[in-house]
Amino acid sequence: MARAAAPAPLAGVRRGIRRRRLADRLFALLGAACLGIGLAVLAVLLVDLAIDGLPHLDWSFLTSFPSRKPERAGILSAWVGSLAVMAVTAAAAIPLGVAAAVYLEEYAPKNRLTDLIEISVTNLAGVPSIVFGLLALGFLVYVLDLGRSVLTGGLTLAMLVLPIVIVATREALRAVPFAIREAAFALGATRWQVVRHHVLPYALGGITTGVIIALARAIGETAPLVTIGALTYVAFLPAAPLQAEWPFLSFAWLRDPFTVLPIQTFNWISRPGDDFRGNAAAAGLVLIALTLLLNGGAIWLRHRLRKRVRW
Amino acid sequence: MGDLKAEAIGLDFHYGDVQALYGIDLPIHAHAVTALIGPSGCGKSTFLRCFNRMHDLHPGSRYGGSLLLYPDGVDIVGPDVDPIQMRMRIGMVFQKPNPFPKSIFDNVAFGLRVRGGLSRGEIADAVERALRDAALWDEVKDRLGESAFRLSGGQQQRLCIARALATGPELLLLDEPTSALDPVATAGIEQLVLALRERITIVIVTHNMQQAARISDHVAFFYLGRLVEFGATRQMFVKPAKPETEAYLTGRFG
Amino acid sequence: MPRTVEPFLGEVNDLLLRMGGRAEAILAKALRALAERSAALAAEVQEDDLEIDRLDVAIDDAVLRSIALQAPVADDLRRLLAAYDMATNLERVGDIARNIAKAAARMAEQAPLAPPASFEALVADSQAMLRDALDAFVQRDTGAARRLLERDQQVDDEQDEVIRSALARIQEDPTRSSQLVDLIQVAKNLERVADHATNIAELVLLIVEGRNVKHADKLARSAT
Repeated sequence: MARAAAPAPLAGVRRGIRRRRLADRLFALLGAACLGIGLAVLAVLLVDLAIDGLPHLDWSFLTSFPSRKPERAGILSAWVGSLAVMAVTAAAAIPLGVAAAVYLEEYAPKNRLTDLIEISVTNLAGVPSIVFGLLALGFLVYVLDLGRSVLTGGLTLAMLVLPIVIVATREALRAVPFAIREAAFALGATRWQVVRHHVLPYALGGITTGVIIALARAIGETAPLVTIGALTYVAFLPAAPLQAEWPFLSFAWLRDPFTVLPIQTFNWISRPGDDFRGNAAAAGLVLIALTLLLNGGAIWLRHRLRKRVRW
Repeated sequence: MGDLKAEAIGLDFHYGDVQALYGIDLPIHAHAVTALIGPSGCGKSTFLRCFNRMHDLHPGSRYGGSLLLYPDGVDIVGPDVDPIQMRMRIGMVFQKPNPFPKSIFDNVAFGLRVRGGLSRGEIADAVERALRDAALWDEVKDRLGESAFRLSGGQQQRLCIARALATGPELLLLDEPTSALDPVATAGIEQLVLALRERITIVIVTHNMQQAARISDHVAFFYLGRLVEFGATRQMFVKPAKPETEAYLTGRFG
Repeated sequence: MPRTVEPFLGEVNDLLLRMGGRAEAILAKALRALAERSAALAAEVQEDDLEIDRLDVAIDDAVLRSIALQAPVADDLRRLLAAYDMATNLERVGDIARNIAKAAARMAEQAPLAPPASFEALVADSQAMLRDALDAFVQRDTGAARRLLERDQQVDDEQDEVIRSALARIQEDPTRSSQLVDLIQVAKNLERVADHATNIAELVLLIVEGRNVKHADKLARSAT
């Protein structure tokens, strides 16, 4: 380097650049380190769980009822119960949440009442889940007399995840460019026609993602279900939805008592002694697997639906 | 070119508390092209959007005076008038081409489907007619099912014109339709406008004075929400009546 | 910030002013050659006319470039077209001066001739009209331009008077007929100078009011 030739100000600029590049790299390293710590902790937890649980994870575990003997205890009733409750949650939360979001985003006039509603929805997301349990207990179980059933459990969780669905749907609706709506309106479409033909189809990716995230959250909820009285020891399944005679579809299962995976896990882990620890770990692994499956499904679905619509 | 297709009489417009148009008196001649020119923010786009009540999509808009559509003389901005009815009689093409993320066919057919009452055959015929009118049929007739986004910018804008024409509007509003297009595509659109003029009345907002000179029959010069001058294009570009108009045309301001 | 068309308009205007000055000067010199019977002055006029022709070409070129590159409208366009027309008129004045100078050279070789009645008036009025037309152009004075259009008739009358008088003299004294014919030519040339001055006045009206008043009288008369 021809130092004698480089004028003084230029050398100062070069030093400054080097310093800033160094700071850049340090910050990147710091970020990576934090990420690494987070991932490491997660990995340790998973590995720990796997060590305890994998030996117990086999087909009979998945297809057996709980039992007082750890070797024979399984999660059949738990995961069937989870599925049943999820079905009710989805059936309740999706239409309500999407419709509410469509109303708020497309139809509601910009006044104080609408602001109030929006603030309430956002606040609902922050309410502790056990409060929903209490609400469900007082209203669904006692006032409406729905009992300690799959229906009650599903509706409780639906209330819990409703704000997630609403917010995700609103974001998806907002992502549709105004230019598309303008063009549709200019052709003489009513507001409903614009929503139905242009806004909802393109928002579908975001809506689906939001719904699946909501369900992934709901599948792991324990406290509200315990509050409304989900049983912890269930050695039977809810009634089958299909039956041999007309009308071939039965809704009797909605009124049956139930349990879910997190509750079963809790039940096992809270027993004195180490006997059921392996079972609890195995159930935990199943729960994680289900959650990952749901989230992965959300990502895949979003990718597929996004490809169809390109702005 | 003697009859009027529409007429603004003392038209005012407010966005909430802000007044954007002050007492506009402007005739729109039938089967002719009327160009609206003026510097940015002068109210020409605002005036254009009064015709199909697009301001209704934004709360707080208020119309004053009247905007009559002939031959029936209905007041477009009247309180009893249904904006959707108006939008079915008046088409609009926007500055940036905005085709729907659907197929070419579905884009053009949307306006027809929204009305309902047409058979599939009738819709297909109307789509073909509209695409021919927009000078796009030959280029897309073999790929009507493809996504509209596969077309070039100029083709997309012609698709938007076809979409607006499909419903047989009486009046076509063009809001700076070529400002996002390259010169060749622009020339194509201008030729199209001149050809369409025979059958349909056109009002076009343009920033490009040469474009207004090339394709319009009448010119309206807006400034700060008021109509400064209205006249035949050939007179306006040779000797405008108002010194403000002359100053704008020769680039002395705006 | 000046507009992009300003330098073009400025260039055309400068050329036009120079050309106007030269046209006035060349006419004055030609008339002096006639009055002073100077062959030398007459010869200078031939040279001077070349400069006017060069300016004519330069103005044509500048106007063409301005229109091609700037696409002017409204008053800019009118000014440029008027400049183009005016250059043509001034170039003709130059040619007229050359003709007068040629006649002066011929008459200088022969015996002096007393000019007929009204000749001095014709000389003065035609020069005044050219000067006033150029002033009206520079000042954009439509009032002066309109007044100019009315003076044309007077110059026509003076020209007729000169020609009548000269023709009468030819009858009386045929030996001087060639000189008198030259004088008649000069009178006609001076009347054409006045015509060009009125053309320039009409251009002032075009620029300022956008009104084309060319051939207005003739067209009005044929319409009735």
